[in-house]
Amino acid sequence: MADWISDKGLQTATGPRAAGRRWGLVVDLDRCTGCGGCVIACHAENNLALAGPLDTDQGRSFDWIRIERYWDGEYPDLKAQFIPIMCQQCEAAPCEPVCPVFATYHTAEGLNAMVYNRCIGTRFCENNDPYNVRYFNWFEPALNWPDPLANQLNPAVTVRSRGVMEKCTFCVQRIRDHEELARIEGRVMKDGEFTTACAQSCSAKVLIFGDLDDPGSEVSQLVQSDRRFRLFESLGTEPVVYYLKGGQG
Amino acid sequence: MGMIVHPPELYPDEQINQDVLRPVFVTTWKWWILVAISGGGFMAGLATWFYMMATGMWVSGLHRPVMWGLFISNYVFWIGLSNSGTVISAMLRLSKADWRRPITRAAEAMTVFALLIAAQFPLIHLGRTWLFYYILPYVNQRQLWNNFRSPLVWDMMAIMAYLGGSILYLYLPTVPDFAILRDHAEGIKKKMFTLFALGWRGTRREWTTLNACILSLALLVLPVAVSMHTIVSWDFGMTLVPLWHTSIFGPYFVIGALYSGMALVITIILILRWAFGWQKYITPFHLDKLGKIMLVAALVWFYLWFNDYITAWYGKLPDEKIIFDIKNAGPFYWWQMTMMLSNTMVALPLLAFKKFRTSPWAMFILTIFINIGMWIERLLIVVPSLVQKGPSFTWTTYHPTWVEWMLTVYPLAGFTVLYLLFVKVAPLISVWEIREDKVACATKKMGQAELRAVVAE
Amino acid sequence: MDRRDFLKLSGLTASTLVLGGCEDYHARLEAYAVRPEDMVPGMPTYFATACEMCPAACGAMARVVEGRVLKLEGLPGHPVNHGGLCALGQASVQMEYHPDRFYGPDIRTTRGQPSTEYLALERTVHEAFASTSRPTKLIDNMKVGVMSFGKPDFKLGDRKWADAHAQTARTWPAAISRLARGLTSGGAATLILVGHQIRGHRHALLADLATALKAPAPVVVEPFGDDATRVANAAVYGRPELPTYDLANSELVILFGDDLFTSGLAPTYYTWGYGAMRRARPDIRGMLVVVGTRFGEAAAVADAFIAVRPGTHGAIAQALLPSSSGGISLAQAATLTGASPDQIEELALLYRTLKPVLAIGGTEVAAQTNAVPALAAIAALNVAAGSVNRAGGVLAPPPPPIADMAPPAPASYRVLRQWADSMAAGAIQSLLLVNVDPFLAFPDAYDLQGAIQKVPFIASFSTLPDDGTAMADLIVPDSTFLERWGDSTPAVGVGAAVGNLIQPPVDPFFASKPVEDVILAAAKEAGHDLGHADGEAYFKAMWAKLAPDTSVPGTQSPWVKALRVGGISRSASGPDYDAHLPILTAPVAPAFRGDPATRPFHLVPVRSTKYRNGLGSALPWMQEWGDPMVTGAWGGWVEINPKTAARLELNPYDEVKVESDRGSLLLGVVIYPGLPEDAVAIPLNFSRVCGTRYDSAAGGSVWEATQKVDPGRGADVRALLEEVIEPRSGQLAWGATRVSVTPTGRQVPPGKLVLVSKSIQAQENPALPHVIHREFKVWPIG
Ligand SMILES: Nc1nc2c(c(=O)[nH]1)N[C@H]1C(S)=C(S)[C@@H](COP(=O)(O)OP(=O)(O)OC[C@H]3O[C@@H](n4cnc5c(=O)[nH]c(N)nc54)[C@H](O)[C@@H]3O)O[C@H]1N2
Ligand SMILES: Nc1nc2c(c(=O)[nH]1)N[C@H]1C(S)=C(S)[C@@H](COP(=O)(O)OP(=O)(O)OC[C@H]3O[C@@H](n4cnc5c(=O)[nH]c(N)nc54)[C@H](O)[C@@H]3O)O[C@H]1N2
Ligand code: SF4
Ligand code: SF4
Ligand code: SF4
Ligand code: SF4
Ligand code: SF4
Ligand SMILES: [Mo]
Repeated sequence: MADWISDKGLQTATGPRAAGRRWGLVVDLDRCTGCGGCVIACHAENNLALAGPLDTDQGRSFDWIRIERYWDGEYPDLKAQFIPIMCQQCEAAPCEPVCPVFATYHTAEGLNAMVYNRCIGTRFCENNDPYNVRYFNWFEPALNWPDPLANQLNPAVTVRSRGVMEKCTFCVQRIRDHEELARIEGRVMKDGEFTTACAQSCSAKVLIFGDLDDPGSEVSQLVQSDRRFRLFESLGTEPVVYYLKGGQG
Repeated sequence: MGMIVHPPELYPDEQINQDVLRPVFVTTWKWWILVAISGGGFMAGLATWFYMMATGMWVSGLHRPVMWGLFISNYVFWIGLSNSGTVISAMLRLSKADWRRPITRAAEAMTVFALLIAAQFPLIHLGRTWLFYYILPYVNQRQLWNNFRSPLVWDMMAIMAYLGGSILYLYLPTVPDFAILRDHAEGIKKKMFTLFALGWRGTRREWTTLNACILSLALLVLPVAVSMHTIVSWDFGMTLVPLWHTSIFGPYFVIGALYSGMALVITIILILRWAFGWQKYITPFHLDKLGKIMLVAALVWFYLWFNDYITAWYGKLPDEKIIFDIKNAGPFYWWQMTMMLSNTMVALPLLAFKKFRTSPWAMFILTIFINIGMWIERLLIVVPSLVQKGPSFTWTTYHPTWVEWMLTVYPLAGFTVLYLLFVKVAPLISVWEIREDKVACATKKMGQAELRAVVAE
Repeated sequence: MDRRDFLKLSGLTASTLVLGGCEDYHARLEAYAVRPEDMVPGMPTYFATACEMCPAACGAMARVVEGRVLKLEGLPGHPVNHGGLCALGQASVQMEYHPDRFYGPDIRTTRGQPSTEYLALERTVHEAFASTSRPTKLIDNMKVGVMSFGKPDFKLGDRKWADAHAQTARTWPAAISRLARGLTSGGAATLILVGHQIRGHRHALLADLATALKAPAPVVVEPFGDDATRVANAAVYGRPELPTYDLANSELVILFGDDLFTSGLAPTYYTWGYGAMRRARPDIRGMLVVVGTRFGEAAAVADAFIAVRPGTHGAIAQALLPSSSGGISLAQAATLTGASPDQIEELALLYRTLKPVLAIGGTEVAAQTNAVPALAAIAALNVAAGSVNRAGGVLAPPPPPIADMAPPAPASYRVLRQWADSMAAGAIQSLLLVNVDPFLAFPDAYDLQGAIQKVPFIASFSTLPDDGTAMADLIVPDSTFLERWGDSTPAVGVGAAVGNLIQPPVDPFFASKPVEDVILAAAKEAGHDLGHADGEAYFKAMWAKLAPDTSVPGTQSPWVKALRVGGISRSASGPDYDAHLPILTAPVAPAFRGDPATRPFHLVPVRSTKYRNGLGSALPWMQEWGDPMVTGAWGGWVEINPKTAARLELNPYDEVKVESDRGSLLLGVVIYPGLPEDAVAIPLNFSRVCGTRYDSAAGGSVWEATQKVDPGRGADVRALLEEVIEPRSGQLAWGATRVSVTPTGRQVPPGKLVLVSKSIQAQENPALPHVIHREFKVWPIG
């Protein structure tokens, strides 16, 4: 069981963790066109349920990754900005300590994990998530795949039931898959041998996924950039999603 | 100041038995009607709850990021209401305030029932209510444990402790009264009261033990009450949510609970007074005393509220300011104004007048308004911080649905049902304590001298 | 088609290899020549294929687990999409398992009404579904610990299902005979309308059929398409085809009113190019300037947005040109367009200093009555800047690897309308609709319904119900691109000669048949043997035309190699353009229909990334996902400038009547900052009259779980459009309509306007608690 405080200590002071990996995601905002390929890719990969018009309007749809759009100014001197936002897999995740049943906790490789079976649906974690990236199952999602649409479901990912919280997992099933593959083939996992569904679908190469503790990985190189920032850095949540700011410079 | 005599008259034991025990034995059609109405409301509420459980929480107005709404507001409100019964009784017992005697039972019962109501809300608001026991540290094969770092777990434990304590604290002082009832009852009721009376005979040893128990419970239950309200506040204070994350919430919740609880105690004893003709037991004197305590609570509550308000205002931390602003504008503005009006602007000056404090009707109306205000206060704590937290792209509003309103009214019905049933089980004025008072009044220690005192304070 | 049949293929047993050129991605791609025995249950198998959801022709990998295709992923290193895939491509699996997909062929006696046999079949299939153990009672899920609901689907081996399948399959011979009779009766008076996705040899086969019948060549329906662009390209670059826009190597891209990245003819290619243009070169960050009316996705990511009045883009282009080649003064351009002179001057400076520069004229320009001169002026910018035939500029697309795969030229609206007129005149005896919904091509102002009714026999080859299939006498359910053979080339230049080979990663899910199989069989029955046994044999024969690559020793036949890597691509370049500066006159003013006094607003029909050409609206993921700019979902809306809304006292979610001289629509109001005060925008194609449950105008049962009432998507914006034709290209000028907006005094019914984010809507909505005028400014973004 991860400890909130000492996790923080782990990554700031004692360096790499036991698992030897620290997954991270780099989001280059200067490349994102808001096309939404990543959004649907995540739906397809992770069995995200459909909410229907009424519930979508009520704010109950599922987008483990969403493209936020911000306006600035007035026509014609108008600016807008897209920001893909998914779970930031905070090293000091505020959503974790508040969960009364350990349904959400930190794994050794730096992921904020959800144990759906354990969740009782207090929704406290979402309250304490400054990024609002946790999605609650307000209705029975399984029934929103009318036959034969359910055939598209990915057997590697749990179909959540009503009353539980869910969120971006960094496509943990892919991580496990490739760990296993590497193990069978008796080799070390290579950087970039796999990636998350969202990163994979992004034609503009906005999203880069990899091991932050591997100095040779693309993410480790990219986080050196002086365009780097993290969302709500001042809150001390220590996200492992690094954004590269757009614009000149 | 002129002294108020307490109790105004001393009644013969028979009279007391007559007045106080009558409701236990005599059931009028009014009682049945009340039970029918509130029981109906209660069942309708339960049905609504089960409907939500069976269909899903989409029937509420909750959505991302407003994960908590009326359910949690109601929870905090009822937890607050539960405060004052036991607390006031314990405080008064410990400070040996004899005027407490006619009101303690009603107040203690209020605590237990309000807690029973309050404790439902965490269950109601669970996405998977049927798995609520995951939150308990029960022994299980998979060695799954609950997360002791979560304020919800502290909360659960605090409620259990307080509920346990309050039930004991209600039950123990009733034991001698159950004995009296046992002696008066017949048939099945006799059996029931025999069971409840635990073979009480009224020996000296029993009385000493009882008094010792009550006193130590009173001592214990006070810190438990304070800690419980503090812990409830930590459900909010321990988070990163703007305007929840504040250290003042502990004392603020405690005093708010005292305030609204006091108001409910007064409302209830006034209703009992009218319903059972207990004017001679529950007198303007009590209203005056309770009113004074409430005045203090109101002042402290306002003081802490103002502290919180002004720090948020001066701080102008961007995230907090957003929430601060929405509380002072739009629909929340009217909620906030109503709260401020009933809880301070009207209540404070009025409570300062003895004439007001001693008027039953005036106090009745005021205490109801205070509790409406306190309910709004809970709403204003829970909801605004959630509607606009996090990235503004996700900001929304919150419109509760009929399900939530139904489950907001349902506790009132539930509370009334519990109280109505309790009326048939135990005297709402502690018979033995009144009688004891008679004795106490007869010989009272004043300094060195033993005096026959009918004049208090 | 049985899986074992494929053993016959080249005698290969297992062919497992890592895709050449993209070793980085660790996935095993399987040629469709793998014995089922070689597939490990539960382990995904990847098949290299191509996405057929739009004309972009992206390379794709289909992830198949136990005979079910679960996900489509981008083919790494593919010249079009470079490993990415767009939202619609991702959603393609929902077409595969769409609940409203045609189960089998349907010979109808009454148009618009399924036959009783088909309905019986439908019942059988539904029973087969019901025989599965999905929880039907909500209470089931309240059982302690129940988490993943028992089973995700029926088993493919399920007997009931197999029976239903077999029963459906038996209806095929009659359907093929019906089609054969239709072809015979049609003869030379047969018209084949094909959708814009029909390219490659699929189109060639239909052309062969037309030739055999002595009928006119298949007509490609691409009405909002590139007719004007083609005419302008022919005038400036010397050839009409859509060129390669080499964004990746450009330093300055000037987009004239186009949302190139999110819709466009190759969204993934341009998105990739944009990403590379911004950050792939170590020291160069390419710049993007958008000149347009509506501030859309491209403007959102641009360094500068120059707002111009509708249809005046060309004047900005001319302001940048030297006066010797038709240039106009900055001041003149400013008065014509309403743009600020400072901005134009800045753009002119950038245009002069940055090299290479790339100017792209897009749909917003093409939507107007002056499309051709405006697009020519924009193309002239490339010529004047020396950007033609050079990296970072405009390149001529190389011919496809197999000559007859070249993308067919689409018919202009004027041509389409002539065909429709001849239908109305009774000159067409048989109509084949292949992957096309002709109603999308016509504004409601044209009575297409009346014209089509006059055709005695209509067959629609489609996977999903649409307004075209509603008119058909014969429904021929085509297999999806995940279930059949095929090939394709991109509709636009992508800097390489690309030929995708589409292979079927899975067997047809329903009893559908590929168009090729049906056409070949029916033609044969009608006495026109087209010379191939079925689709597979046909494509194999077509690809046999490729010369084997002898440069590398030991390579297999091109077919086998293409099977493994998803096709072939050669980094070739076409014969260079022979470009010259056009002679430009003074900028041509756009014309609009509707009296400005009574119809004060320009109607901007927006092609939302979500719906694109209607196909998006049929897929629930695409419906539910919020449009990137508006965050609208599940249907349509009308975008109104905040000041206009304030003037009309309109709040978000208010219902308004948008009216043109042609018709009216009731829509919910969205406050949209990205429009001028005198324009309103409505997304295109969010509904069909007779669509699927997700996009039908009247609404079907969208949610099973919550049993709520579906308000339906409502009528599409086509109801408002005037039939105005751009005179030089014959294209429909769908941006030439003026409308009025009248509040109805009501709010829209729940679910009729769906916004995923309400943040910018709040300030005008008293129902929302607070003013959100301060949008988030915490982002440290330049
Ligand atoms: N309102 C509105 N109208 C428009 C447009 C718009 O954006 N909005 N766009 C215009 C433009 S530019 C164009 S090109 C046209 C496009 O018009 P269409 O070519 O008609 O476009 P789609 O709706 O994409 O596809 C038509 C049908 O093809 C079926 N289909 C899908 N996949 C397959 C398949 O594999 N095989 C077969 N046989 N059928 C398949 C679908 O079920 C759908 O019913 O629409 C034009 N009209
Ligand atoms: N995945 C997928 N992608 C597709 C397709 C598909 O079916 N699937 N279809 C493809 C096809 S066939 C085509 S033709 C392309 C077209 O794709 P594009 O060429 O990009 O066309 P649109 O998106 O319709 O138009 C771009 C923008 O022009 C603006 N605009 C449109 N009309 C007007 C107007 O009258 N006035 C003003 N001021 N502005 C206007 C709007 O802001 C709109 O967002 O998309 C292609 N992209
Ligand atoms: S796929 Fe890439 S470019 Fe498209 S929205 Fe997602 S991150 Fe942005
Ligand atoms: S982003 Fe939110 S959900 Fe994800 S780890 Fe951080 S606090 Fe938890
Ligand atoms: S909703 Fe689930 S995961 Fe979140 S705090 Fe509650 S029990 Fe934990
Ligand atoms: S990492 Fe995986 S789970 Fe997370 S947003 Fe991307 S696709 Fe979804
Ligand atoms: S751009 Fe077109 S071909 Fe490419 S993935 Fe998207 S829909 Fe498919
Ligand atoms: Mo098109």
